Amino acid sequence: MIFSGASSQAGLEGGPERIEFMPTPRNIETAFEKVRELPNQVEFKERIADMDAERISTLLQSVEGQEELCDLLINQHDSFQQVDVNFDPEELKSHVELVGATLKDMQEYDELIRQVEGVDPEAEITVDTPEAQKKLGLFRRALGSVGGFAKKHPIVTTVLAAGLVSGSVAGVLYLSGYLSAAQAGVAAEAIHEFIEGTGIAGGGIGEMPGFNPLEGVPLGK
Amino acid sequence: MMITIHLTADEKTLFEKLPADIQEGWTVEEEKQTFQDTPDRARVRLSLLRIEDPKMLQVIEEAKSKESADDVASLILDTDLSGISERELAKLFFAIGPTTLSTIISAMLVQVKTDQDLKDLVAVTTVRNVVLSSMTHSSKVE
Repeated sequence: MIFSGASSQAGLEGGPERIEFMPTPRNIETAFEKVRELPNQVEFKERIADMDAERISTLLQSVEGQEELCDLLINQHDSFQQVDVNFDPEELKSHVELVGATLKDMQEYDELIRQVEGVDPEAEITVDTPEAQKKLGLFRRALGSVGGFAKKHPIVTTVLAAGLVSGSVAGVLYLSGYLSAAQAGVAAEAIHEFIEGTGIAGGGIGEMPGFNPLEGVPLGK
Repeated sequence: MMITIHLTADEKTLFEKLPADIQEGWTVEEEKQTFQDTPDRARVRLSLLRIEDPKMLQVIEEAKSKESADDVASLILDTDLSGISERELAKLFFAIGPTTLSTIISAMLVQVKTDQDLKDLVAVTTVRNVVLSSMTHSSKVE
């Protein structure tokens, strides 16, 4: 479940919106940084001394690393709940697994993008073109086409822009203590509406009024 | 050479309703890859999205300064993604995920009137095909 607790309206007017802690490398790094500022626990602080986002990302991508991180986070859950009220040790293991798997997918996808960038966009694709090369060439052409027709198909631009803003802003706002609860509520609302508005299946999202990024957007020419 | 277009069974039905001259020259291959997206999966992908394009980073910074949902909505609707690099586009497509791409495809499919419309649609189906094949690890985690 993404959002629980009060409605976004309550988040805007009252206390902070409850957004479950998602153990991404940056979120864990931020939590570690905050725990390091707490008094005492010298031994634990030594254990997490070299834990930056890069190292955490590596750990998340292996079963052993995931166990190490869960062990660190769950054993010290009181401290993590002090620095982040949304830290939930019960959900942690499954979320760590999901983040690790997604990071692996992203790494492989990134490698694919690198290969695609090495493909000549003008290269002819024929029946004799090897299948793997054909796939790279078609993907390269597809990306070039979408970039060109974004204005003609506003739904594409809008969905991409909503993803850009919702994901990145929510990611930054989340765990950012200096940002107001109101702003966090807006980000939560934006990401919720984006997900709901674009038809991603799945339940468990709280009832939150708000805008629909796609409302009024013409779907074609 | 015949160009392949990857469509789900439902999309294929819609495709077959297009005028014959538009369908000509295309081979429909059924998109059999599936991915059950969930709010958590989507949230993780969106949270892990790392943008490098200065213009897009500026949009994010602007969004952070907005104080109402309406302002964020206006910003989204006003965002111009022309000139965005193919790398950044590819990352964004991965982050929004195949289910959202299917929504876009359905919306575009019913509006195809010309060969160019179909070419545009094929570009998105090609992206979805690649994105689907890139979700091998996360598709196994609930």
